[in-house]
Amino acid sequence: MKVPLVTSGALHLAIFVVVTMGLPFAAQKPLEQITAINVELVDIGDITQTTRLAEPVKKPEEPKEEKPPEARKPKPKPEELKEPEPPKIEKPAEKPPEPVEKPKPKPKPPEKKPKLELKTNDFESLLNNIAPDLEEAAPEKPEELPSQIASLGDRITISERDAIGQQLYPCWNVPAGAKYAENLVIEIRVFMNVDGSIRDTQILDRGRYAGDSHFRAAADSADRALRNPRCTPLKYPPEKYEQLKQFVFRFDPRDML
Amino acid sequence: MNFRYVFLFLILAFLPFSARAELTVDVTRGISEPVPIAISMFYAQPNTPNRSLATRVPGIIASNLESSGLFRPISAGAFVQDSHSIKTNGVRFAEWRASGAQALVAGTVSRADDGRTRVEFRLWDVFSQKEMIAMAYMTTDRNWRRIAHIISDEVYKRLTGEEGYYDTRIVYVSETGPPQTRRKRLAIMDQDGANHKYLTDGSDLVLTPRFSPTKQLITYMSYGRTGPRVYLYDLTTGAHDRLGNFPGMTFAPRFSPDGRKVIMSQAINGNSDIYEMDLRSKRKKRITKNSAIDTSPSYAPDGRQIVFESDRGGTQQLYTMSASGGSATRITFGKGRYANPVWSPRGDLIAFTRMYKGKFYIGVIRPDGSGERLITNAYHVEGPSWSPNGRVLTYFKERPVGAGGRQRSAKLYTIDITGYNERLLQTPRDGSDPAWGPLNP
Repeated sequence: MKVPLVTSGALHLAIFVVVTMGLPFAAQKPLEQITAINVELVDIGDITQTTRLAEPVKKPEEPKEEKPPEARKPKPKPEELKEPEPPKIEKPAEKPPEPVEKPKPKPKPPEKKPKLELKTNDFESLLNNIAPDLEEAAPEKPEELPSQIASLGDRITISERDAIGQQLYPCWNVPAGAKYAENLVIEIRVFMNVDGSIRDTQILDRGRYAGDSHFRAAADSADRALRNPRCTPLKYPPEKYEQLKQFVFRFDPRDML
Repeated sequence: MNFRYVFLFLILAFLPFSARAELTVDVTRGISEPVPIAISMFYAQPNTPNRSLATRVPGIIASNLESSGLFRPISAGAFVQDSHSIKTNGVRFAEWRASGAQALVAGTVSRADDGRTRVEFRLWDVFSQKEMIAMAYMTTDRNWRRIAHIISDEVYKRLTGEEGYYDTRIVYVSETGPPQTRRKRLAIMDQDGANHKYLTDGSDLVLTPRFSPTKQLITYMSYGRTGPRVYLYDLTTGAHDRLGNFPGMTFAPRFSPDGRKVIMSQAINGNSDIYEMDLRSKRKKRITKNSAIDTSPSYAPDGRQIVFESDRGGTQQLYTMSASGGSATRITFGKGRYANPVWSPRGDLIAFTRMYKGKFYIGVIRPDGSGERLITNAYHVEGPSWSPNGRVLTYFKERPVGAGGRQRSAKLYTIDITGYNERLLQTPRDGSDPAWGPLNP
């Protein structure tokens, strides 16, 4: 009589242990699975499209074209490798004194220089630095805006996105000099009409907009860029309107500071 | 019944959430240009005793905003409405937009029931067609300039996100006479040069005035009968008092951010160290103890750290350390010598003077020693002082003048922290050692 009772009790206990302890272990196993990383495949056409857009601007060089350029190309390469590099290494050591002299003529009339000499062409940085030992950095050439936006596929390509963003460059007043300006990244959702005009805008992160006066001012400034008649209506590939009737502009000043 | 809701909730909560990623277009480049702003002449109601304020107040606002380099008041010829039309008919945004203005200020001057003058103003964002601020101030006519400065501060704050600095004063050392008998007097004026007055008669040489960040107090160094000593000047009472009874010379004073303490240098037998004095208890505390020359201390805005110059590393460089003492961290490593560090009121930068190859520079650097930028230079430029919002620096530039360059001309300047918009600050005579005060109480 006792044996069945003990056996029954042991089995019940075993079932109880399995239910309470076993299931959690079993439940943990799926968690160990590695979450799949989404990888976006970019069509090579998107990249080639960028070069195709750039080429028409440089057309003046093409008349000579065909094989001669190919024959010439190999020659400059070894020259570039041999000659330009050594001076580059020497320059930092030699040139520091020169920049000290260079600024001299400019600062001489302090009243003339100051007048709102805000750099509009130098996209390298909006913060002035006349450091004698830092002046070597050559300013980058401003990128050329594509004259028109063509499209090769159905999806918005990277170059098309860039071309849309670049249209706002002349209207976006970067918050240079603001406290921790590098953190003032503004995202604005735009609702675009077919003609490229902006029907409405929504500043994202409303919480920060309400509580951070720096963010609010920067967001309002970015919003003004979107409504500035100098930069809108936006040019875009018309057949891609469905993808562009609502999207987000992200104003990121970090490269400018 | 309840079980159904729980079941439904569980099903909804665990449904796979599928949201399509929204297309994002990056804008990574832009411009830095003054914002075009229309500042309309205010409307003077018929009962207004001093109708000229309707012109003078917006005139000061326009001048203030333009001086920052961040705004460009558009010409009155491009205005599409006056303040009366705006008040009665509303803003015609489309026309203002066509005029190029991105922001619009208009206002009304009237007589309040108690006889005082009432100045009301409104600020609109022309592009988004929204009113951004509307405020009114009541005062006597005598304070009209202050009202204009306060309105300027409000507009500046709303459009830049930073506190304004127009309702402030600057104390400086006014200089006259040849170098051998140079007469130096303490003087004070509004940030735009108005309401200028002298605080001392010039019988004693004065140097390095500093404004209290919280009170109408100035500390400065003066060569009295007992040699160079640090003094306090109360702007409300006009009283001068020597600060503490230190042996040796005391100099380079600066207030703590709460205005309760003064930190300064004391030199004994050629060695200077940094001391702090509580203004109430007059108790002093030694902060540095070093055989090197430690001087020009300045507090961080939270009062927990100080920056100072020292030659303990062999050359004159800048160091930070705890305000209560301890080990110091060197933050500058550039060529030449660094001096006069001043911690920005907003905490993100330290301004300094740098001397390199016979030239002087004013620069800024982050408190961790990164991001050094030199923003102006001259034959002799020194004494940077921050505007209370940490956006603008004032300093003085000295250049040789006269036959053989034997004379010196010293002038005050301001510059935006970006390194642009350097402007001459008009003073009746030569000026040096400017110190920007806090917003007026």
